[in-house]
Amino acid sequence: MSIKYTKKMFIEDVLPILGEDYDPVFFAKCVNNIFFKQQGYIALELRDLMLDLMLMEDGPEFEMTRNEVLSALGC
Amino acid sequence: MDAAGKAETKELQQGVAKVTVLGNLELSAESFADAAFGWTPSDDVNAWRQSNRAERNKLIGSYHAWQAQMRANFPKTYQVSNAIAQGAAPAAQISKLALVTIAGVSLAIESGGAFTGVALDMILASADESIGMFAIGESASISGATVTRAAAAAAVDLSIRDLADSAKPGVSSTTGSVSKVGFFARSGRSELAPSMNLTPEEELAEAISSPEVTRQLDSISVNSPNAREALNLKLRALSDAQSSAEKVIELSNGKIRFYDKFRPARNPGPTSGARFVTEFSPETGELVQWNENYDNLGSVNRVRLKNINGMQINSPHFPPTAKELLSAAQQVNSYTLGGGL
Repeated sequence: MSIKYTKKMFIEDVLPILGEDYDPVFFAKCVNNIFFKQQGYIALELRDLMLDLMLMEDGPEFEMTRNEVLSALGC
Repeated sequence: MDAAGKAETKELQQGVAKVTVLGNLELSAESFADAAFGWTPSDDVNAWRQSNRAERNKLIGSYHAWQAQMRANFPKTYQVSNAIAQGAAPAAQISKLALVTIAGVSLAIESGGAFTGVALDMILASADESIGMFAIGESASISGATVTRAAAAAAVDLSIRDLADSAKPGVSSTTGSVSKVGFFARSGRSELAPSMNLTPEEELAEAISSPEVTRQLDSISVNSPNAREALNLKLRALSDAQSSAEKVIELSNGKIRFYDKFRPARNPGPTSGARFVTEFSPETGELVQWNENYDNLGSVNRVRLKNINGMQINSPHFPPTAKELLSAAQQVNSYTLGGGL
């Protein structure tokens, strides 16, 4: 049985790259990397959130502000 | 369209708004471009700029007003835009527009000034595909890959994506330099370059066979730890897709597609939403994952390859996003400037 990748673990992983110089496309790429590393182990609720965040690299239609990301993370 | 730069819009087939705007649109980027390319405009250029300031401000104002109008009237099709400089600015009377494909990107490159022909000739010669060179003031209409001209129209209207909102590369009214680089985009696709005018299936096939992806796939060997890890990731990806798919489709070739739920766009624009897709071939065991974006009519307008057989793929979008195009344009500009134009 594998350990689930939880939202708490995800927040710990991405908070360091959510600084003042936040760039949605760069952030989305980082989430993308985590998603593929953890795919299959990700908690369902978090999986949804990660797929939303990954979309930010697909165009401005999907971008969120830093505050919106923090809010989605529950920070 | 009148000479005062009043915008005219009309709805064309395929739900695409085609727009013609009079006015030298890159004027607003003049200072930026001068600084970006380290140009010191000559006295003549400065004098011309100064003497035409009022007229140019009016044009820029018209352009911004037009943009606002477009956003209000066509929030879903705005990307189709956009317009081309026209004879309202003196230099534009000898400006030319080259339509080319360089490194897989369709570009509209405008040049104004005494050495226009030389500059554009060099670009045309170095392009992968040269569609044509047009004098500003000509009209061009596109039918498939064919460009036809009509002399009577007031402006060139090619539905070219304009980068005026951000850091538009280029300089206006300098002699022989590239003054504007735009991108062809109609509903997210090129009207001009057949190689980019693809169905979603072809788009995906092109993405998979692109050099970036091939290079990444070639880097893995069957005996390497990477291969074992890839197999593990592939199985997990398949299991993940099976358990979270909202829609499953079996294709005529036996492949199974798992569509994740539709994720609507958060902000207005040409793309209305996206789905994460996993395709598995029970026959060959191959697995591919990608994101596909949809336009406002529900058609796929962009794909982004993510994973092939457990290998995470880093490739551009097909077709490229505005940011990727901007990056490509900056490279093109570096190239042309380095060429001594």
